[in-house]
Amino acid sequence: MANRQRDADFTEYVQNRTAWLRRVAVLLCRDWDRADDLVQSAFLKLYLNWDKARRADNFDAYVRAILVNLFLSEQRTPWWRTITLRREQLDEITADPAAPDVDHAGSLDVLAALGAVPARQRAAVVLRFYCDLSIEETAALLACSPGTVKSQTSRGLAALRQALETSHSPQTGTGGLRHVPGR
Amino acid sequence: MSQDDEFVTAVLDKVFDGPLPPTAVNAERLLRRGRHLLHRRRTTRSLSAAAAVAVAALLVTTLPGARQAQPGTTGGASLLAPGRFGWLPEPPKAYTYLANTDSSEISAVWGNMTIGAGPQLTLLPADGDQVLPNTAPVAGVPADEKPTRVGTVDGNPVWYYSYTAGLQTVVLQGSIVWRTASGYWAVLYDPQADGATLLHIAATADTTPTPFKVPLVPSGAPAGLSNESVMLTQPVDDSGLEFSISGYLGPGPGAEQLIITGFAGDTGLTRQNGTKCDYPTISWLGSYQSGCLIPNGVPERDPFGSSAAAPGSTTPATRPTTPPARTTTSPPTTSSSQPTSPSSSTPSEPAGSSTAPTVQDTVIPPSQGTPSLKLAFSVLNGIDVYVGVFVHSQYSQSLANTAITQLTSFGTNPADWQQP
Repeated sequence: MANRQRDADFTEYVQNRTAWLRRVAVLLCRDWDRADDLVQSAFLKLYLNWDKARRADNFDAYVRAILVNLFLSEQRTPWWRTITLRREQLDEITADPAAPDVDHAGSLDVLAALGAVPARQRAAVVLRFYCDLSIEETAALLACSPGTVKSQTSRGLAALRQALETSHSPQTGTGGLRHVPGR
Repeated sequence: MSQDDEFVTAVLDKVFDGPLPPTAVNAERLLRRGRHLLHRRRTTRSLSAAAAVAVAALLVTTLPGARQAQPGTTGGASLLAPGRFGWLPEPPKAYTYLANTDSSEISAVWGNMTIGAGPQLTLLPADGDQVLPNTAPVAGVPADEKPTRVGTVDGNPVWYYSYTAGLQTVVLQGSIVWRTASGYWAVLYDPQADGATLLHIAATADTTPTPFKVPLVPSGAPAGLSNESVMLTQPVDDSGLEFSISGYLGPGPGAEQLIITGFAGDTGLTRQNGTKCDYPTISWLGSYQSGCLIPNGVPERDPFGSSAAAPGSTTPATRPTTPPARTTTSPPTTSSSQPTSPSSSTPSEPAGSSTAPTVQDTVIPPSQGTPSLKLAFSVLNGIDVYVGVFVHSQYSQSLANTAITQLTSFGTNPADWQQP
């Protein structure tokens, strides 16, 4: 009975929070397919640690922490382990060539610019400015000091800004984002 | 919120201006996969708890002397490789073997040194549908998953799979399944290959399970670590190998997962420009691709520092810039090696080697936020092989730091590294 309740709760949570978690994931890894992989891995870990998650003060924060840790872990993971993880989740990893095209030009600009930001700095930026976490919350999630978060964020923002400016220079410009005056 | 903050938030929000692309995330499939993993974990744990099988205990049985034993005599079924690939679209640069210790899956990946590249061959027990529920034509394919015959291998039908998600038919690209002559279900996965290529790879592959060699034997793993899987990666140019052992500590689904990874290589790997590294590539971010440079810009360095070795070491501070010829004679007979105490810093003696290795433990301090890992280096003086062992726990830095790993044995003859 307990397992049935857990499965029902898990299913409901996945259905309700997939879009949110995909958004965070794609900002981290810059690729929708990889984002789906990350999200599925995070949900699997959540399922395996359901009891622990339920005891967490903030359920969403717990899941987000799993996701960020998976992303960062992937950065330092030997390529073969990544293969294995993908292999283990083969039944979830799909591609849909028939999927309708969506105009993501602006999205791609930003995602490409995020690529200029090292992974850990990117995580700090995303957590601070998209997830709206405080410096202390970000530090806790990234297992580093608040000072490190500040420096990572600062460097990440500088790299992001430079990449955006480069991508929108007159030579390569595609229009779109503008730098907010006065900074 | 400052203007700066608003700017960044607006930039990030712009990614989601349009509708989100279709997703492959499917709650039902996740649930099935989750149930299976939970079941497998519990099964594995109950089995391993009875035997109190620690990593070292398992791997001691895989020492060179024991490696010749037949599968099933040394925990051995868990250390099988699913045969070998024959024809491949392009020559592989490395291969990886994976064996789950509950024998639920054995697989091999041959491919390039890039993420996700290369075909993967997996053998699954023929009597179960646990590992890949959607590739179980005999055990009951879920109603929404439709196997389609696409050809034959050795006279046996080959399927690929698709399922319906909403109104869309989703094809599991790059994956075919067939029954092997040895009685397993073989799954070939290569996302880069088309159907004809997949069939040709399958037709030329040898799917006879064969033992694979684990030349490096760490010990000192925490008591109670239930071994889950062993992986071994080796470049075809014999420039080194990586291994990984993963397991779980503690009971219950919330147990810590502990991953021990290691690297062994000669004096230096080759940089992309063709020159050799002066020191072994020590990359705790784990990437052959990085050559001598560690990702995130950490420069090449001598992991032993300028003062070099641990007490008692005869290793010179300055290491040769070109690797000496490796010993290719006198294969070691290391089966007598015993695990050392986790707290011991005494170098372990690789049987068959005339010189004791120098072991130096180093705790890598947090660098750019990377969790610090316990690191044990071994320099086998006689043959200039460098070994790094990394202990990684996703959630517990303290666990990683306390899980000291010693090297109890190492196959000093490169022939020991060669897979059949």
